[in-house]
Amino acid sequence: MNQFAILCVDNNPVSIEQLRNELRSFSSRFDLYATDSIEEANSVLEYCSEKRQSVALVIASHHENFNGADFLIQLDKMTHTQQARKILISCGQDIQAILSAVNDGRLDHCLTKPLQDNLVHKTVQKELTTFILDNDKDHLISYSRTLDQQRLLRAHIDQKMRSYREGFITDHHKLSDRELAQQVTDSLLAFFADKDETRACRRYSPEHLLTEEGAENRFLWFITKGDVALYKKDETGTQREVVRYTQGNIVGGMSFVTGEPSFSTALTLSETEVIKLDREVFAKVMHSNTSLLPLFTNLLLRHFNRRLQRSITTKLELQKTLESLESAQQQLIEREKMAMLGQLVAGVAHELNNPIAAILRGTETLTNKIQTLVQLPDIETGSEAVDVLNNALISKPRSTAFERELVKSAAQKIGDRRIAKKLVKLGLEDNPVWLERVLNQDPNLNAHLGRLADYHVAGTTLRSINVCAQRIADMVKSLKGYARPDDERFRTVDIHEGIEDTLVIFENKLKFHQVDKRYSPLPPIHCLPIALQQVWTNLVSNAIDAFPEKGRLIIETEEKHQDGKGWVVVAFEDNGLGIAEELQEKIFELNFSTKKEGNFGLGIGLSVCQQIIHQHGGHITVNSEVGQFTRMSVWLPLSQSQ
Amino acid sequence: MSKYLILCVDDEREVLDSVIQDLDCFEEDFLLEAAESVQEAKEIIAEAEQDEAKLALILCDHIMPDQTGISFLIELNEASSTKPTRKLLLTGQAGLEDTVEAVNHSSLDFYIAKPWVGEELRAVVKSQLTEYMIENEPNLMPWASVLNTEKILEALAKHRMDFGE
Repeated sequence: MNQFAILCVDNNPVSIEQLRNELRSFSSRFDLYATDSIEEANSVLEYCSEKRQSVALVIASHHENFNGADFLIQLDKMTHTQQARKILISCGQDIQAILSAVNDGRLDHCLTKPLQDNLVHKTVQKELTTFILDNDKDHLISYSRTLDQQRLLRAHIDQKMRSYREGFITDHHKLSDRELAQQVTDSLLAFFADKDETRACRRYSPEHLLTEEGAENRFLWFITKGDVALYKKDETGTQREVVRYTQGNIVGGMSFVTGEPSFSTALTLSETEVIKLDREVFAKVMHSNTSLLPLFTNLLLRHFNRRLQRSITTKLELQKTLESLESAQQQLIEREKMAMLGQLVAGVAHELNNPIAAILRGTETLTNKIQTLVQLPDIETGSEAVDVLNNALISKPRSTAFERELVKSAAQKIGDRRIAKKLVKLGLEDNPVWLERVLNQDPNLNAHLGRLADYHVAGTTLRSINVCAQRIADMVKSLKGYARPDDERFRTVDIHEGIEDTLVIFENKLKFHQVDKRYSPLPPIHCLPIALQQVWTNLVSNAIDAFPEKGRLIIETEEKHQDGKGWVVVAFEDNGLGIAEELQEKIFELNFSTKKEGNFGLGIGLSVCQQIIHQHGGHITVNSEVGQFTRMSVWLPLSQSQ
Repeated sequence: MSKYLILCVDDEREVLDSVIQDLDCFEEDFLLEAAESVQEAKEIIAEAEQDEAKLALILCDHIMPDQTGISFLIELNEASSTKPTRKLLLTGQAGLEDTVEAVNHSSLDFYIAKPWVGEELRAVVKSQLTEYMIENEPNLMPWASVLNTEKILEALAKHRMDFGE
């Protein structure tokens, strides 16, 4: 039993016999049923349905007494006959029946009697071929002897070509890179196994040059064994290894595909076996084996894609590295700030010691004096005591040298050095009333003087405590100025304030040297004051480090016009050892330092200064003469202040 | 009783004043002078020498303009007239290096850290003066009531025994 069946229905036995004869040639692939009644035909259909035999073609006759058209129409309503090709043989009179068969039964062909010789056969062959093309695509060739050979073959080829094209890329998805490469090289090796006129399969010793960057290349190498490194020159002309290839990789692919000069230089690293193809040989190989082209195409695509993936990965890594470098630099700057701050704090802590000592001593003195003043029986001093106290509170002490002179001359006048000293302390050395009392040897003199001296000491001590506390406050304020939040905002300030604060911090170190301030009146500057204070700190610190035994620091501020713009220039000039001209550029580099370890900051101060000044749209210049001086000038644009 | 000078040197007036104030009690028996700079101190010393007053003790700050305290003390130690002078450093900021140098030049008798305690400062000054007197003053007796009585009497006894031999 065949898979498909042909059914003929005609109530004319002669016609049936004719059809049977004419269709015999199809019986090798199609079971032929011929019936002379609609009823019988229906039972054939039932039988086929039971046997799961598809009806490929139904030929029905139609005339006055036999309604073949209706029979065909009903076929289209049943699933197992829906695909069947339908041919109506009409006597040519009942147009209406034919039309309804076409419209309702999707009639495929209509023959009119009288039937020409062989016409039914030809028609059936055409229709069956159509049926088979639709319903048995996988076995087209097997029908080629019975049906329309040409159509079947063409369809078969089309089908094959389509699946070849469709599968060109996707068929190889299952293969790993390695398997794919293996298949290609295996095919190539098989091709050259018999005949290898061009010596395609060859073996290279180490350090054999395959391609040279920038040079023409006609060849494609498949590496079957060994290692090849690819190099590319960077902008300085240094060869840099780009990638290392091994078994299964392709060399020369880029220039082979594009015809451009080689992108990189390829050099064998070890003993290397390759298959070397030029375009001509390549074409020959591809012609010889059609399955090789998609394989090779896939291999090449993957080769380039892997390269692309690698370069994307590299780019991402580079970006990451760049980011981490940036954050490392940020951290370095932060650390420089902290190192600087640490040293500043240590210096200031030392410096705070003096006023703190004075305050501590003062409070003890004061405690004693107050006790004395309160406890001792009152000695009549009148308003003088209050005057002495108030005077001591507000007046700056005279210099010790001047006081000594006064004591000396007073002592000569009155003869008693200790009394003279007390009078001078109290500022009474010229007071006629007191001088009189001294000369008259007033018995209460010493007691009175002593009491006044107590008031005086109380006053000066309070004043001194006040002065010292103020100094501590100043130092704390200037230190606080260094506590810069990361998001310091631009403010409009008098930059002299920041410079003065910085000088307070360095008071200790500058004590041995001369500071010459040449400030000009300047408009307020729009700036990051605390960031700038870091700059001043670095520049002052550098000046101090460069100082000879007797240092002199000139700090000069002025307004200048240059390049059509207004600038504020803050210059720090020391009389130190100077900077050689060839080093002047280098001092701003991050890793340049002439200082020994343990010096101020981390030795990256100037680089940080430059960054801060650039942030302000300004710049810093060096002017120096070895052994004479160094002048660092910070230029800040005035335009920002508006 | 010979004249002896106690000299305090500090460039910070407030500190200087409080030192002088703390040593006020020595004013009775010593010339107590204050100098705001090394230069001034030198002038005072020169003047005192003319007046035949000896510099018994100097109390000096370290960090000062012109010259550091330690280098001044070393200088004083090298001059014969001030070699016996008791040399005290009053500072919060002398580095180890400087201090070691002063000690090695035997120019430093005592080191007082800032901030100091008044009573301790007086005790140190008193004991240094006592030692100075024992070594340099032939007539110790009047100093027994002023300085460390016990030590001075001890020294006097020793002197007598020395003479007795």
